Amino acid sequence: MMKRFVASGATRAGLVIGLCLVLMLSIGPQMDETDGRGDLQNTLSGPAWPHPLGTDQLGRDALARVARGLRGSLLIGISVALISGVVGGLVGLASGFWRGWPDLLLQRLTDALMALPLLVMALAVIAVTGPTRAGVVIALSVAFTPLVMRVVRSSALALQQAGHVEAARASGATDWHVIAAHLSPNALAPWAVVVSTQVGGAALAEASLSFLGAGPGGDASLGALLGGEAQTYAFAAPWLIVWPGIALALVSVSANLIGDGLARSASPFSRRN
Amino acid sequence: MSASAHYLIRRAALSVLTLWLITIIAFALLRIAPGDAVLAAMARSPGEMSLSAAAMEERRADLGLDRSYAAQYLSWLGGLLRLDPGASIATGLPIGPEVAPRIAVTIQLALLSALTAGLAGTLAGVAAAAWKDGPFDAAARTLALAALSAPAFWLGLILVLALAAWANIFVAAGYRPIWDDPAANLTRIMPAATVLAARPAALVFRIVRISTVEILESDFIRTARARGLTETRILWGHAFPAAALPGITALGVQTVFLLSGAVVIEQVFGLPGLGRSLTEGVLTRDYPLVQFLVLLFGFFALLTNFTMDAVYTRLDPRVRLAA
Repeated sequence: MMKRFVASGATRAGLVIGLCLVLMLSIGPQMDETDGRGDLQNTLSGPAWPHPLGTDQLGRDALARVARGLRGSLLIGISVALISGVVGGLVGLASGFWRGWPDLLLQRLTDALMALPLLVMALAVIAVTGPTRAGVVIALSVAFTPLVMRVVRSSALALQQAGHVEAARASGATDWHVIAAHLSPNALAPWAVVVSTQVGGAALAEASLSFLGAGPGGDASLGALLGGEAQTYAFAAPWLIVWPGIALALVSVSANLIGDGLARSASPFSRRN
Repeated sequence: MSASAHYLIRRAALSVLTLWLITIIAFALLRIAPGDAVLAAMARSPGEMSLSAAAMEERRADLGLDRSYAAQYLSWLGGLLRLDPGASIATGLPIGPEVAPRIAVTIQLALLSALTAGLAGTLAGVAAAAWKDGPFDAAARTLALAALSAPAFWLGLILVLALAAWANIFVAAGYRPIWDDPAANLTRIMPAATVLAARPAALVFRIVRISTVEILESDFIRTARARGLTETRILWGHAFPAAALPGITALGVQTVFLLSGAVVIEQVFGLPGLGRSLTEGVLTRDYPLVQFLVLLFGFFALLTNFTMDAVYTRLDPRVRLAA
């Protein structure tokens, strides 16, 4: 599976973009010391050396700010994907394995959560938690978990009919053994596909929330860079809007390509390309 | 009763059940909040900080917050059934008249986007399949990847800037209802609808392209060619109707996304829709307003899903009727 995963050109492109983004993170801390304060002689200047991406209204370096925003966005994206991945994965596995009334209840609850548009759900949670970084992570985790749960539950359901699971049961395996040794490894592939794609999805959703003012401000994420102050200066300094958006698009392209690559290599039906 | 009518009744019943669950979620969610509406209102306007404990109790009693959760929920639900969602705690005004005119804005935006996405995605998909691997195909596929990756609201920000800088059109100001001034309304709402349509259009394009490519290789197309039909006739008369169906499915899946995207696109283009109301409600912790808007968005999402199902059972004779 691993071999097929790296063999595709698109997946490799996704990995390379992802790697470049991670490398860009190392710029952030380095520039903190030099440009964190801003240079009031040099406000809203266009892309030119020593500020390759220009400066903002306080003369702060746009590249350093994009790098810091990127760090925030990736952190939120990865946290959300992990939290919803672990919670959704475990609950989905249990729900698909034991069935019964808790499963029925969970399914109806999932229906209701998934019927709500993503941002509406997340905003409602933020009304409760407040627009902090933790609040955004909680809100997006609530909004993203149902999908993971659905995917894992349906593979757990399908796997119960599989020959090797029936054979294990017939030879007296306990529930826990069946879950750990037979269901989990086989449900892992679809799980990984959803979770890797959600890193990009969560980063995009966080950007929307921060842009609306319902997230941490400043340079806490790429979305925060697009909202608030940047709006005021967008005409004079369009680069303040352009760079964070491009960085965000790259995060999403990378997550999507890696997710697609995982999906292709996990599926036994699509061996070609 | 026909099988499809039976199926639709089941789906409708399930949608009503889901909507009821959403009322519980919306109600419960805003009761877990630390502090209550009175404290939130005080935090919002520091002038009222001096409210005494007794005055706060009185205010709670006014808002009905001293009753049990069950009683509060039932009275809210009762109000909803009488089409009375209560009053905003930020403004003290009834929510109904505040929200009603906004419904048209959001629905118009979502419908125009769905229409744009469906048309553009299908036409481009069929054309790209007809000229597979040609320059149009390559350009359209690249554009689709870009549309899927770039955040819609960012495309909107760029469009707003570009229109203002080069065409002197300031879309983010001066919204007019369509029955008031259709031309002014459309110049404000069409750019927003186009941006919102980018992502669903790209998904419809991908699905329609790949299914048209498959259909063009199938037997009935070969027969049509053998009968001497023109390529145009084959493409639009035979392949297109068969490829449109998966396109409609893809669009159906995207309708809930449109409602989600509308929330942020309304902000970008300054449209006075439900999404902006929701954002303001969240930022001012106006719980009754947020609670009602969550329910309203859930209602519209369920309604579109149900409509797509109904359309689909009519269009596709093979549709699986076991829910």
